[in-house]
Amino acid sequence: MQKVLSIVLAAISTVLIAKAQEVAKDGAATAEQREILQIEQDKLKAMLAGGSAAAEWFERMEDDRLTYIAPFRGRVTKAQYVDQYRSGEFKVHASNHHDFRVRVYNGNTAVMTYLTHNTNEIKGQIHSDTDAAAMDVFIKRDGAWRHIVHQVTLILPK
Amino acid sequence: MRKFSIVHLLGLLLAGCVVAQANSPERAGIAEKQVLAIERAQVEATLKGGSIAADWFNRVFVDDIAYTAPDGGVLSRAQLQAEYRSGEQKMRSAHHSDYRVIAYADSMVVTYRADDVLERKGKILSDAALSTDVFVKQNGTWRMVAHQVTPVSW
Repeated sequence: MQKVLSIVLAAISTVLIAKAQEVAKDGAATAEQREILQIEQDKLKAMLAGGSAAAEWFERMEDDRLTYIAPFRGRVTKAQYVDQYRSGEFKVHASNHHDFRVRVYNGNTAVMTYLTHNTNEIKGQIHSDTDAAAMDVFIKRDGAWRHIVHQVTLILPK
Repeated sequence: MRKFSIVHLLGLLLAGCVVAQANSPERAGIAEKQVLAIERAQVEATLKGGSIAADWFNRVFVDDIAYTAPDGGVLSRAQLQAEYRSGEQKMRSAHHSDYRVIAYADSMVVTYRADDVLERKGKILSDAALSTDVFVKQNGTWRMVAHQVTPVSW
């Protein structure tokens, strides 16, 4: 099981490195953009590890006043989100994030958008999302990025 | 010398006032009122539609805004302006409520419930939704850097 997880994580890392290079296509990615993409890579590892590993990562990275909005779940507070991971109520079985774009304003606010296709388990029910558009917003405080917004919108078939 | 000292002292006092204002709790309250006024203006502009809405987006949105429509469509500011100008996108009705504002040092996050009826490319989108707007202060003015709408089941 451990081996399978390692292979999955390695594959995700590879995808993310490729995507980081995509961000740099229009010019070299800035240090801030690379930092944000690294956080995304760490987040994916934590999400797939699940349980208390995920809960601790989110506890550390997310602002206490986190704004979290997702289909099927509505508004979720940081405490609820962390608890859902810790209790196993929320699990991520598969995650494919791509088409990253990172915009940085004033050197201290970063907006990252990407497309995602996740298979999640919520209270025992499997939700295999259609493709969705996601946004994460970060602010830099005392030299460290903190996650302040996460929002996901399903993409309707055309 | 005496003149310089008075000017210098006034400068220091002014700087002190600015720092005090920046650190005061009132600053967050003022910023909150400013962004809520922008939110009200956004509803008015989108209901008027056409070039009024397009011009408003030009003034308030940064040119590389992260804009996600309720159908998950990701639009640039230029695309959004073109859709409003051509009538491809129209806000038929808008009712926003339950505003929540969170102030950070140089940015503000506003969330609200949106019960809108939006027409986009001939399709009517009327789900109740939760929206988030993110503002950043640039040259003393709040500019919207992100807008995302998520339809949710109630």
